[in-house]
Amino acid sequence: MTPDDLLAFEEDIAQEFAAGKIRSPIHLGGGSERQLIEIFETIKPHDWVLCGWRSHYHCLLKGVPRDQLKAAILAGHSVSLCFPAHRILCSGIVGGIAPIAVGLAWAIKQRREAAVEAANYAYDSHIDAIEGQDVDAHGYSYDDMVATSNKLSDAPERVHCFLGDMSAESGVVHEAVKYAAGHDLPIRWIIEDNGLSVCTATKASWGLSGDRADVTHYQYTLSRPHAGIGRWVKF
Amino acid sequence: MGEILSAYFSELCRAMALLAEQPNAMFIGQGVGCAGTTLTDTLPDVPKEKLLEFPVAEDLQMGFSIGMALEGVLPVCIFPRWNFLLCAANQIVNHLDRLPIYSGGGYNPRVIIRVATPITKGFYPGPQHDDDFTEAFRAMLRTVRIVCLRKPSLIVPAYKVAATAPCSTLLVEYTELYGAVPSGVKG
Repeated sequence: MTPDDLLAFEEDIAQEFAAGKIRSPIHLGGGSERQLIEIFETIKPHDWVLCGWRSHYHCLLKGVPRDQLKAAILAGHSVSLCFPAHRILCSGIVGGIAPIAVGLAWAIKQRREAAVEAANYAYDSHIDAIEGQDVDAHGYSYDDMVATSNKLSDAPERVHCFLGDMSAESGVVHEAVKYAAGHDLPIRWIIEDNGLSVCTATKASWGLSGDRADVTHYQYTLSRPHAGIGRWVKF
Repeated sequence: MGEILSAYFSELCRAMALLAEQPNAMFIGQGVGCAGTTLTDTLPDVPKEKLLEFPVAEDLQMGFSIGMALEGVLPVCIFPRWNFLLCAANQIVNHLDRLPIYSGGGYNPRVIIRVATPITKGFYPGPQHDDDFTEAFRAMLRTVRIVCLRKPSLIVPAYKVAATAPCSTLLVEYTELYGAVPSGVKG
């Protein structure tokens, strides 16, 4: 997927919106193609991706087929796209995905720790000694142990939570980042900073300067209006 | 009267113990892993590894529970008062309730929420602690069930249904029916 692919998709959606075929809000991407392509190079298919309302690029880069994505947008779901098969969950509520992302990461960590414990047990039980038997004295089969071992050799799942710069300053996001850091959860926060919340200058409105060091932060200039296509469309 | 009050409390304890038998159940809230609220006393038979003491951050707690549920956990999310649960209303309404709708059934997090309506006779907890928002939440929720536990006999059956229901459930308790709780903390 190239920047031109992403831009072409959004232009197609803009044309559909202009033609009055999308009777719900849309928030088009524009200006963040290069940064997102680079970020998604480290996101694996089994990872979770949580986003806000401007998520068309994210869905495409996570592997959602463009026809499927376009159908969802035409059906009016652009603000809160969800594709469980691709582990994508979006929301139109400012900062709303951050607590959900932390809960996902907590559960992933718990499951992984349980798997590690099982693998350690398997090792301690001398896995080779029971090959060919149905189960050992504790109910573990050889296949169980091999499956556990294979699972642990896979890259661990992670949660990637994309937030706008104003969302990132909300109280619940500060709580979420603090909890995730304190409990060492497998989560990455990505702040998509275009400096604005709709038309409000984020940092000036908070009286802030500087960026957090414990999150991934990229800046871009949104080449589209906040929502819609910049002119009235008659539906 | 005393026997009825005692039955209410013991049925809550029994319901929590039964929920704890679910392999994926986790109890989350403030005062679940340590003493603190009246509801704490209803968890004596829940194994410690199933108790997740959480910071006071209601909206975070509710969203966190939704995330857990999406990964296969059955969270029992505990709020000692309606006024505190109100701080989690954003997540309850906009995600727990609406996510099954706006994802077209693709995501259906199942969370059990416990909330208590406090005593107002004899001991008055104050205007920020005494509310019962049951009807207000009924008006806001489309997919989450609300069940009022007004009698001891309702408690265990209601939690059994909640544990297997295809949707989330908010169960309302009444602390004036608790009777003499072990910690002596009421309201």
